[in-house]
Amino acid sequence: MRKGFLATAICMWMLLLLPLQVHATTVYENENGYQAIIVDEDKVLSELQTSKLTDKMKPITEYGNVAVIIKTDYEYSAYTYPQEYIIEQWGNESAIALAIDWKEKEFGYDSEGALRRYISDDKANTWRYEEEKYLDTDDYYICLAGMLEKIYGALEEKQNTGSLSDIGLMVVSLIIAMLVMYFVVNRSMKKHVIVETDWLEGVTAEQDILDFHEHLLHETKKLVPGSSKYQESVDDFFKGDNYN
Amino acid sequence: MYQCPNCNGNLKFNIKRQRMLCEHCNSTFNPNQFGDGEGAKQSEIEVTVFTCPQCAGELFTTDNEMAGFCTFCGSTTVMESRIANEKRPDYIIPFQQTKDDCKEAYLKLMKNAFFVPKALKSPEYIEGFRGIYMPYWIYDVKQEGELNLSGKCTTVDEDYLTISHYKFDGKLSSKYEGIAYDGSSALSDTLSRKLMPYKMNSVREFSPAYLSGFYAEAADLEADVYEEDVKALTDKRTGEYVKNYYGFDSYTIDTKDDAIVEQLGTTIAKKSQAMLPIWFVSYRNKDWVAYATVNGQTGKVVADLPVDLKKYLLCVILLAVPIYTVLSLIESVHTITPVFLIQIILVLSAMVALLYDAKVKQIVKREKLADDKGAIVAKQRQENTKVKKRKKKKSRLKRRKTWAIETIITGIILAGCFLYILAPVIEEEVLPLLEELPYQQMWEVLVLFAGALTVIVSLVSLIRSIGLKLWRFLPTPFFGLFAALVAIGMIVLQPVLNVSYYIGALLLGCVLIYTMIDLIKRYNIFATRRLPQFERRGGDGNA
Repeated sequence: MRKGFLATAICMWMLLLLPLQVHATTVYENENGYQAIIVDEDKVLSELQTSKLTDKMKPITEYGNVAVIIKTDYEYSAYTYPQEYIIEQWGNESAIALAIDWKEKEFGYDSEGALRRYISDDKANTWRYEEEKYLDTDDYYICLAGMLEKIYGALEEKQNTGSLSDIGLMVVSLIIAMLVMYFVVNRSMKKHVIVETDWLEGVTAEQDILDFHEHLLHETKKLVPGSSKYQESVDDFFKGDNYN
Repeated sequence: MYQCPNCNGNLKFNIKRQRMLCEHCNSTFNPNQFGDGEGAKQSEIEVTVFTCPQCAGELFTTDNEMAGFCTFCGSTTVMESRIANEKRPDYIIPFQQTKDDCKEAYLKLMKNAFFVPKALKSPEYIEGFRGIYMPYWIYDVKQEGELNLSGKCTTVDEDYLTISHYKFDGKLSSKYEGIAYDGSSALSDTLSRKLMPYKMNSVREFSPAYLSGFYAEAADLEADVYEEDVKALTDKRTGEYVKNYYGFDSYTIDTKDDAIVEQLGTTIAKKSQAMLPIWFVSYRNKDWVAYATVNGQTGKVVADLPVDLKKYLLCVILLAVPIYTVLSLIESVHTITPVFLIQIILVLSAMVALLYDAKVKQIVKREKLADDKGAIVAKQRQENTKVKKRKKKKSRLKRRKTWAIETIITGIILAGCFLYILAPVIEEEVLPLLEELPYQQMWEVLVLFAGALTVIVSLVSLIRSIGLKLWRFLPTPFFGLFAALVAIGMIVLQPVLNVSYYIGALLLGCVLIYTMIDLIKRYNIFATRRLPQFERRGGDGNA
């Protein structure tokens, strides 16, 4: 309910203050407050198509807000408009927006929140490319319907495998916990395990070297590079017969 | 049994007073004033030998009775007894730690050992500590030799670098007294080593009276078994002394260590047998036994510490809850896809495979008795084969590095995992340079490496187990190899359905959980020992 009030307030504010003079129709709002909105200023879609689109948008509202916008006078383009729309309409809430510029044959998509996490941008863009071709033949409904079906299909699969994902996370948690505990146990036990001691500890030992002598055998001397004598010898070498 | 000259009461050696004490009239006597048994020769003592019918472990005593459980295998049984003459030791170090001191020291160790089974801390178990005199060979070593070494000294003045070559000579005189090695194959070298040191200045002339109230183990290893080890030990120590001799302070010695050792003239000057005190108790669990020993002179505790599997699993579950919470929070920010899940589990499998393999190698080495010379000698004697000359081992004092290597490899892999998970989250906060790092490629390389490592380690482990006919070690690496190949297949083939990845991940995950549980069991095998089976009179193989 709170989400519904907030969304409605934002919509009213937008209507009063923003240049986005859209004729939005909230076709559906579910019990969680998520909305399905269709904006069709130019009445491109028939009533039947609008109704069918609504049916396709309803199940997606289980996960977040859904908006479909079809018009031509975008401030920039249909590609960038979905992002602006979502932010202005719902802020950071989970949402998906599809925008079609039926004159320029552009098809834009964006998402936010949980829906953005469930459906990766790569996947969505792939679908967008596949459905965008229908704009050339003015099949706007087919383009939008196809996109919504694919979105819902991915969400369905996510739902079905959601529990598997949780189980997978549990298994990973268990394995990490087991590894951590193994090291903890190892470390804990090693603290109490006596390290092997020196076998000669406690043993009476006496050593000595008697009649120690050192004998000088020979010496080798080298000039230290950089010393004055070293420099002298270098100078002598270049002056002397060897060089000439 | 010794009788009090005053009242004919029983005499037992009293630890606190370090004298024989009459239980009846409280008179005390010097243990050395009591002779050996009738019919015993001077080099032998007459004792009662008690033999365990299950493991053939033997202990002897000068008393006539023994509690009905075997110290070595922990079985509660009626011991067989006979009178025998045992070789008389030369020396003895009497017990200086009472049974209460022993129990206190043991409990102090166990107090903080949380993962140890409860049974090892129970009063009934601790009451089972038995005072046993273990036979040790005591070596005195003499080294006398003419040292001829070479070295050099380098000096620098303003203009010249001078290298002076010297020859050094001198007479080395060195001696070591009281190097102890255990003379019984029943006590593993590792255990006896850890119980050291004993203060050899407390040693006394042996008298059988000291054994009164205690038990003793007979030496079944000859003194020459450890002679090479003793020489190697003293050679090393003296070699270090020579190289660090103050006369060589400003010189660099060129002579190699082997050449120095050859000049030392090491000889064993004296070998004598001594009985050294140990408080001993065993805990039996199916086919393994854990020993707890306390040095009867210094109170040093050395105990086998197995892990209670139930406690371990309880702690795992408690720890898994916050880990799962953290992972779920991460998942809400950065979706963990099925592919990523199987990749994580594959990386974890590499760590598990390495740990398991390392533990199995430790067990195999221990079962080959690679570090227990006494047991090898006893075994070879049993098999009537000649003792082969062993190569001089490098220092036995060197700590095992296996654990450190495992930790490093595991740490690197864990660090790689967390780096990938956390990096995108902190990407916005970190300098833009981080954004240029190819995370995806790095991660994929790490996964590939981990997968290959898991397969290789599991395969090697499998082949080794088959080669050594260690059938009990087969299932785990086999399952690990199979599951790893399935997971790698998933990543390579990239099936369409996400559920395939989950199945692969769960399969590999379950195998890893099974492996970790098995690893704890292997840890326990390594931390304890097999039930002994001594080849003496008796022993029915039931141990």
